[in-house]
Amino acid sequence: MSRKSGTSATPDTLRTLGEETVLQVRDISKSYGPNQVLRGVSFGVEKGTIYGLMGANGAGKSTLIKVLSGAEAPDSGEIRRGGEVVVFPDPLAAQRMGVGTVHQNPNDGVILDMTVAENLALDWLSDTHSPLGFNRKRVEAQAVKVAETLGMRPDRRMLRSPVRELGVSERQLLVLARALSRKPDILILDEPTSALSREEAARLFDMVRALAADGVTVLFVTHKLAEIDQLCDRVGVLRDGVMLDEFTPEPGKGFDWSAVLTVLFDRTPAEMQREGLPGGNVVLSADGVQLFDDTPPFGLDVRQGQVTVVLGLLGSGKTELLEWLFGAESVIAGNRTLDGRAFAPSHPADAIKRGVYLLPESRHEQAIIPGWSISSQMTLPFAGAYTSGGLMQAGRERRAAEAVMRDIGVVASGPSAPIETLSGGNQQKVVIGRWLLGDPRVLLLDEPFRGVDINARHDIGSTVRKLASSAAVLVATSDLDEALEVGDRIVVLNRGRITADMSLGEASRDRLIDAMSARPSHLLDQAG
Amino acid sequence: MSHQASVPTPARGRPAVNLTEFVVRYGVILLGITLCILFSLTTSGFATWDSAVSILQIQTVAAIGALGMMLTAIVGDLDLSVGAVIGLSVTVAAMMMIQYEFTGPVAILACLIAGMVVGALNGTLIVLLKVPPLLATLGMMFAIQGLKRWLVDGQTLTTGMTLSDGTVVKGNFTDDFTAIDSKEIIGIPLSVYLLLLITLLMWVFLERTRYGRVFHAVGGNPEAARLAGTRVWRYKFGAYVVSGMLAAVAGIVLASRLRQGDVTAGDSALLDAVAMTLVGYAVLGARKPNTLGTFVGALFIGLILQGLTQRGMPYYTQDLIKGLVLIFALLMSFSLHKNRKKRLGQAKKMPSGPLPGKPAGGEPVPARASVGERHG
Repeated sequence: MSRKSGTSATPDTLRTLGEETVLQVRDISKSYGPNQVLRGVSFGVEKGTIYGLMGANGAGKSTLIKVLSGAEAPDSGEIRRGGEVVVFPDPLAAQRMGVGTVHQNPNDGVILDMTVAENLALDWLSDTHSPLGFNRKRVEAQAVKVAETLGMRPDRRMLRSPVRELGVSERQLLVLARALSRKPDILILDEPTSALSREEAARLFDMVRALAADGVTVLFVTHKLAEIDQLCDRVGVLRDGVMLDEFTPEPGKGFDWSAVLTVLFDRTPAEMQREGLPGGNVVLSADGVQLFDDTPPFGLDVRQGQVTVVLGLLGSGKTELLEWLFGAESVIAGNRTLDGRAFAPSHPADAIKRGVYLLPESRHEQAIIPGWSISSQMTLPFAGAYTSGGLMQAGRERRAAEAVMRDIGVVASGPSAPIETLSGGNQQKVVIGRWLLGDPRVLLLDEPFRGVDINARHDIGSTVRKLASSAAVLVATSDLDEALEVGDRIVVLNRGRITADMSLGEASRDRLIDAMSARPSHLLDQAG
Repeated sequence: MSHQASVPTPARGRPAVNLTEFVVRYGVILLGITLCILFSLTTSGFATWDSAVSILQIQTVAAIGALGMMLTAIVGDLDLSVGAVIGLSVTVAAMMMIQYEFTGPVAILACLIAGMVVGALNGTLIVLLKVPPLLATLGMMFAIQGLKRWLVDGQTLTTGMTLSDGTVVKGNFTDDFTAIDSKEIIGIPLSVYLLLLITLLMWVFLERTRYGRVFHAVGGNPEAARLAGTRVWRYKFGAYVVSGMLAAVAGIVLASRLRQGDVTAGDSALLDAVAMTLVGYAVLGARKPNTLGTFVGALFIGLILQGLTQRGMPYYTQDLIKGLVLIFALLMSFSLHKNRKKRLGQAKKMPSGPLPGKPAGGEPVPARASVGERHG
């Protein structure tokens, strides 16, 4: 296939697509149970261009990527590659047809207990045409070949170390190298920089540009406006499962971000302005917290009357911090105080007794009991309060659950409905609502907006803000926009260190991004 | 019932009107009733009161053991030492009464303590020492089978026999002890009442008390249960202790039936109990261990064996039949569902605690295809 740079982008939006359109998506719809996630998405990407895909959490981005990478079959609609309709029965088929995908979480793409070399050579190892017998030398030779596609030259020690010992960004690079070694015509990158440092991201961008110049078509999914500015020839905004609008940069001025954001959030940027609340008494305070072996201790006070956001990328330690505050995990060192009294929970049960509640990061793996009704999910931590003579009082449970459901707007057929029949956003409301049955002093919310549609996101946001008037609320997120949307005070955690702590008024995108992505070593350099 | 953990909820957005859903829910029960009618019509002596009572009585030992095993299955494990503990309990009962000439109640107490100790050992191995449950209880099974042989020098302990050291044992199974399986009230042996009572208590406990609710939560998602404030290890430990004690009760019933310390007693009860527990998965489409299902499983296996035996099926084909019944029930539970791939996917997706090398911090958990995953 000849790889020549593609045609220039046509400026009109949702235009008719020309012959050079390599990837064309027409009317893709996809539902999960009652929840229609994609409602007829259409767009096209021209050969050799980089297409930015934006969408708030829950807009349907991840589902769209799954459809394009063959991980999910669409309910209707078609995907055309170079004018021909293609069907991907599974991710492998998509790969063979030249669609390479790099997912957001690098751990999905690596086998932690295998060495770097084996991970790099994984495609070769699992290829049925590869020789039956192989030795370390051949695997390593193959691995070096794969690594070269990214311009990496791993040494022998690196090749032989297990991936488990690698940092997240290195893992991400491994996955990227493997994807590139397959020589895809279409490359889908799903928030590839969320685990990368700035330098690594810059290197990745150079590579992506070079690939595009080489004729590879790139679909680049990101939240970060700066990345789109640097890379993309066109950006499409997905909201509520529809590709609402497309933008091209105006010559000399770049993208019209105000217009993009208005479409993205369904509100003008001005409407998103909000005064941060100052906050009242310190409710929960932690000092001398050391999250990693090689990081210094820090302190953090969480006040009532405001929402405190801990903003940090993958690996920043925010989940560790929240789980420790809840008594679910231990950290290297640290003291906790609750309402001025010592607080040292060794088990979540101790924290719950004192009114410290956690919404865990992963709803399905850490919060939901499969098959249970809404009311049972909600009453689980407080089951003892719904008994009489030792027996559970189903009626009281239902009434309590109903009240909470009304309060936070859970859309369901009733409190007895199994939680699986609910949409992601409503499930999330249920597992948050569970804690409203108690007496919250401190609410720790780890990624409360993950896998949640935009309406539920607003509902959860307002519930959280309302709760802040009577309890201390600490929200952990890796999403800048979420932090700005829900927080009154934003604390940036960067691999176990607090690199910024500012009120909403002081916070700006640039300052936050700087604090999130700066490498600790650089901070040290600056300090010293 | 309102509590969804106890009651299967096949409704996944659509009402359960299709045939597959119906078969999954009622297959075992319908097949049981059909077999009942068939045997009644074709086999003389099947449709009688005595036959019905005998089905129950024969299954009592394994069924009581199965109810304990079921509790360990509910918390996500499986106690394989149940059969061995039943045997140990028979041996202990015989030793207490025949060799040491204690009374029936003392023998019962000794059996219960033995069962409790084994359960606590299982619990310690699994909860504290982190041995995988199947392996821990398998090891315990072998150890106990060896122990009981050693206790009685590998012989069947009967009244009047001479031990290896020359002493002649003169004790007897006491009348109150043998009454457990032989005394009848309105034509039904006490042991059957005991089974019914234990089933009822277990059902009330699991489906109507907060502790039962939490047991289900621990089995459904241990990490979610922990983060909701459950001290998961207590429930797991408790499940093994109860399982050990119920196995001891089953052994008491068996000893009361055998009236001697048979060294091989109880060994076959393991497979029966496993079959009952797993057939229970298929009853009413529960797809998970449950009290009612385990009880129905016991009846189902009992009536098939009884019917076939009365039709002249030789006893040595029984294991084959039990095995086939078990596979049939498992097919009902796991293969006949329209979401089966997704379900299995979810079953495999056990929340596996934080990995040792888990990169710190907010790791986006990718949405995987599983039931209930709804992306918005």
